[in-house]
Amino acid sequence: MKKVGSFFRKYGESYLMLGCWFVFFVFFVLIPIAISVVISLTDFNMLQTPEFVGPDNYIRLILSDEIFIKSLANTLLFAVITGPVGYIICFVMAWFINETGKYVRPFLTFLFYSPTLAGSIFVMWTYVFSDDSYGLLNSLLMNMGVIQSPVQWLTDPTYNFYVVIVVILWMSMGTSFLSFIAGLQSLNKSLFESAAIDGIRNRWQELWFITLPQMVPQLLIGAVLTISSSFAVGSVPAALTGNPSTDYSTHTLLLHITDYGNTRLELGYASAIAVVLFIIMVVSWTVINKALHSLGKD
Amino acid sequence: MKKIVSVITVILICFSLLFSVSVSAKTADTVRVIKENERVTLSFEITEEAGYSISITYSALKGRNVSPQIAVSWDNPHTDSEDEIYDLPRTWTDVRVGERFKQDDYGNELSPTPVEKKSEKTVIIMPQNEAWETGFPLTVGEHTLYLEMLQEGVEIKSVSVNKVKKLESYEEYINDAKAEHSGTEKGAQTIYTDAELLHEKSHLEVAVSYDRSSPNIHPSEPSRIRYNILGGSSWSSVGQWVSYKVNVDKAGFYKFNIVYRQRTVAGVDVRRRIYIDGTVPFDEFDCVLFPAVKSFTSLTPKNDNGDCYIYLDKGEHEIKFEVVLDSLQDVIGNFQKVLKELNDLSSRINVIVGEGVDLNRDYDFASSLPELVPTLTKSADALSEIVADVSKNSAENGSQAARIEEAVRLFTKMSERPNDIAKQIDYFRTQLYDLASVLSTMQTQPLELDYFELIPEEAQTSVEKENIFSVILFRAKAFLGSFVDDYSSMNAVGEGEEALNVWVSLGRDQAQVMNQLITDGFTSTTGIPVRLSLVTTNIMTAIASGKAPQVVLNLASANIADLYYRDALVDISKMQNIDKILERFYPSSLTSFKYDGALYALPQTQSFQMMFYRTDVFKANGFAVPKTWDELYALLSKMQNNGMTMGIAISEETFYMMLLQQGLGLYNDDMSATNLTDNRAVEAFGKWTNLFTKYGIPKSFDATNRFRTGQMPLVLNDYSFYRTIKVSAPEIQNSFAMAPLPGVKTENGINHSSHTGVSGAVIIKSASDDYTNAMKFIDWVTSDDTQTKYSFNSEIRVGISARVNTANKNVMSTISWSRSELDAITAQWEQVVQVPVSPAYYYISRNLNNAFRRVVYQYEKPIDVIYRYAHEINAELDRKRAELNIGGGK
Repeated sequence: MKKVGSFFRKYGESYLMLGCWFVFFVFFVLIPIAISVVISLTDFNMLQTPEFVGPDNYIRLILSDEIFIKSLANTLLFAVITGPVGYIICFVMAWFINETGKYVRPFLTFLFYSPTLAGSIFVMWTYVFSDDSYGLLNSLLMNMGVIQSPVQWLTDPTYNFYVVIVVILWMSMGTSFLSFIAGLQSLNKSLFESAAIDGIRNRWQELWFITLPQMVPQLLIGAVLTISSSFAVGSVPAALTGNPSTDYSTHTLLLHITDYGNTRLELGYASAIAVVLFIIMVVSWTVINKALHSLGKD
Repeated sequence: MKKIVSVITVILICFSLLFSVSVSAKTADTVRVIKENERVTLSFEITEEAGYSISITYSALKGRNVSPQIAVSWDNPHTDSEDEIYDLPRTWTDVRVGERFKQDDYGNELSPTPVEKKSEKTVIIMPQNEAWETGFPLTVGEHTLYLEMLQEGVEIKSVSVNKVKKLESYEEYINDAKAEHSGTEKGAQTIYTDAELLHEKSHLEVAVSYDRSSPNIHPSEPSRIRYNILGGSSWSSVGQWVSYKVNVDKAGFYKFNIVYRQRTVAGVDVRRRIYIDGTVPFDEFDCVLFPAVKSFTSLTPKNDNGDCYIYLDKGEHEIKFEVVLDSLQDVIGNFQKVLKELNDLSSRINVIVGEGVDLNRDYDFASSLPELVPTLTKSADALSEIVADVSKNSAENGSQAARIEEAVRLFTKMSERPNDIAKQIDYFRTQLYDLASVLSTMQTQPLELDYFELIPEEAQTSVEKENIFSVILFRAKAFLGSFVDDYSSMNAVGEGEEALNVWVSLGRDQAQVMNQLITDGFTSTTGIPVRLSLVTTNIMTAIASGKAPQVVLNLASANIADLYYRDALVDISKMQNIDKILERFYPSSLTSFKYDGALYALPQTQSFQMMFYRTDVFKANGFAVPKTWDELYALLSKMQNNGMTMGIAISEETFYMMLLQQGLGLYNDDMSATNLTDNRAVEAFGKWTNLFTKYGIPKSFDATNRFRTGQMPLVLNDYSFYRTIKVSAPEIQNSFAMAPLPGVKTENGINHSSHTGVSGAVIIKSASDDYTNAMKFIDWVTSDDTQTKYSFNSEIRVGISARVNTANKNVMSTISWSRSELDAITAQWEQVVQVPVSPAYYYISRNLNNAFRRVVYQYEKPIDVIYRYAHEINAELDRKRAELNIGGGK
């Protein structure tokens, strides 16, 4: 009893402060995840009592749902293409912008960050890629004589995947971009001087041995954000190419979840997909974490 | 004093349509009823060559709520120029409780319900063209006047033809009046009248509105609704008038102080004619100009020598404000002429270049269209003159002038560089619509009135302006009020009370109308309190969390099916009087509400596709309205030769139409599988895809825009498209029509079937097993009386955009459709069929889309594609039936 009392005297305040956040974490993160794991083992149509079916949903998911495999492939493709590319573009742009003067820098930062700031402004791309012959891109190409009749950029499965990738890359200058800029600003200048004295030969070496190791925290947060956003791709393809898209050509796991949850009203199955997506994200984050901690090491 | 001196009397009246017997009659005691589409011929002996006006005294016959319309023409029975169509408006008045309007439970005023008043009115008809001021020019001799009712009927009391005489000037008027009433008593008071408290009005759509942004608008309350303004865009067309009764205590000379605002159309000055006791006292009141202003401003009609006073006796007087165009008519007439020439030119260009302009081709307009450059130069000059006229009338230079100038610049550029015309054609087309919309904007004369005063000589206005602090305080109160007010519940029926919970997802105005109807028509007669809430959340989640209401209104049929497949709805097939209730609807609206021998909803709205076409384009090109698909295909190739095309959406509805016209349903009888592999379905699928491959109809387009430009003079669309066009394309108001969809010839005539979407009222299952009140409620909601009132009130409150697509067959005819529109809608309505909603309904549309795209984008064989997707759909349907235990499952 005495021990407990002294423990609280010593650490009580810290736990109190932690507590506020912890309550939210438990109620809005932990419990929903747990519930969704439980629901994924049932057959639940939202109105009638759920029926326990064991691992049936997972078996169906892996063995007989072609669309799941397709959307998993799409999600991974989106993640692999837009994740690293977006991440690198983010860093390179941040690096360039950081080199500009103190008046130009905030302006450029704002310019590149604004697509993210404006939220669902990406819908404007539907005008660029409109299927109509008066759509911006179609009319431009037709005027130039490149195409004769309008291309259905958004509904033809030959093109719509690439259109979505372009738009996602355009939007990738997100929060991670800001944290990169902040990170580049806070670098220790004296290290560069001593590195120059110690024999750094070019900017690439400087980047690799001095800049990046100093920026691991920012790179890490950027990586987490990029991963979660590239696995959670859904609203962009849905808004651009329709939900579901032609022959599920831009269907992602997230859209597959909403399809089963909202349209087909099979919450058990939708939860099973969500659990799978959760596991994939945890695994990939662990891998990236390991990779980033080896930065700057020979 | 009188504007018109009567010189001629009617000699002969004969009903040429009914019997060709001549009846002699004098003007004054002629009473004739002219019904819709009937014509009267009158002969007049004219003894003096001059300009004449026609004066018609009439009262409107009871009918639909639209204004009666009459076509007037001299000596020529067959004209269809828009210039000759006039409104003979009904007389309406707003229902008030005491001085002001009825209030709801929270103290908000409710918008007043207009009621029609049987009354006799006289309309003076002047030409609507360049002779607007001088009257119809008639030579000496006998002339025949043709009067034809185009819409609704009237009872004509008298018709007389009078020589037009100029009104006397204010100086003449005031000198006469001063001489006549020299010894007026002193001490007269300023008379204040709120504009929203009108006595009579000519059109239903002229409505009151509210603005609670400032305490300077009278009356106002910071966080409660007070209807304190009259007019706005609702009071803007020529011929619409509003009248007021004012009580004058002391005879004397009064001047007007009218507080108004005109910001509805930026930079456009508007005009009103002022009548005192039925006559315009002097020329200055014939057309009073209200300059555009952004906030409420005082205006006193005046001439060069100062304010204009009128003499008023002791007693009640009627003051009437009427929308007029006056001198603007000259400008508009010129404008119309220029626009017509340009439109003709544009269609001739279309013939040469087709729909898409090929920039790499030399069209050689100098030889193929020699009149092109001269017409452009001439139009540019004429438009420049119009701009000068418009700016002359305008106090501030409006955006309208700028838009015309932009067109002038383009036309000049095109005529200067004829070799580059091809590059400009798209922009040229855009400029033409823009000019058309400028023209229609110029003809609207919106005006908002707050109040007006009659101020005697030596007196002041009775209204004081609030200071800045009270304005700030007012705004602060309004802001704080927004935290307290409950916006989702429509009435104050408390949580604890035993009330019927009803959810509705409508616009706020419509929900308010519904709430008012419930209080007046349901709760007051049955004693059942109803808590109506405006909720847009998914009803599914509400039921899952146990927060569901007892009744949900306006739920779409797919959502209803989702609920009854999951056993969440109450079967109403055993309801009292159900057979009688179902007589209100077409059987087509009930298909998806029936499942397994039970009935789960009563239909409220029903929508279906119609064929829309541009009457002007059809007439100019000699097109006939197609009745069958074969005719449509033939017309399509004619249109394509003229650089036009048709608008048919790639929706599954188009496929359903093809399918139903083959005489086949989407599902088999027990809904266990689709019929998509049937030969007829394959054929329908082929027809559907052929439209976009073989016939080259655009796969993606903006129907509203291309319809208004005439590039798509024929569009198949939901009949709510009518509302869209009415609201967003005012310039083609009178040049489009609706017809039933094209069909397929069968032995029993043409099969026009198509799919219909329905929404309905449902009762949600709850723990208490008593649904009597809920059943009474949905019976009441779908009844003829309620639906009639609901559609009437929401349309007058929100405007034509809120026109209800009712599912009740007795109500449709009470809505303000014109006769021909109503006939077309009914013809289609009788033939619509609803494709039932299966538990896998979502899978049909997505897979039909996929199948369509496979054929149209990837050029695969339709029959292979439809078989493949039919298999997928059937598999999902089997799975879903097993999941929901339908038909024993598989």
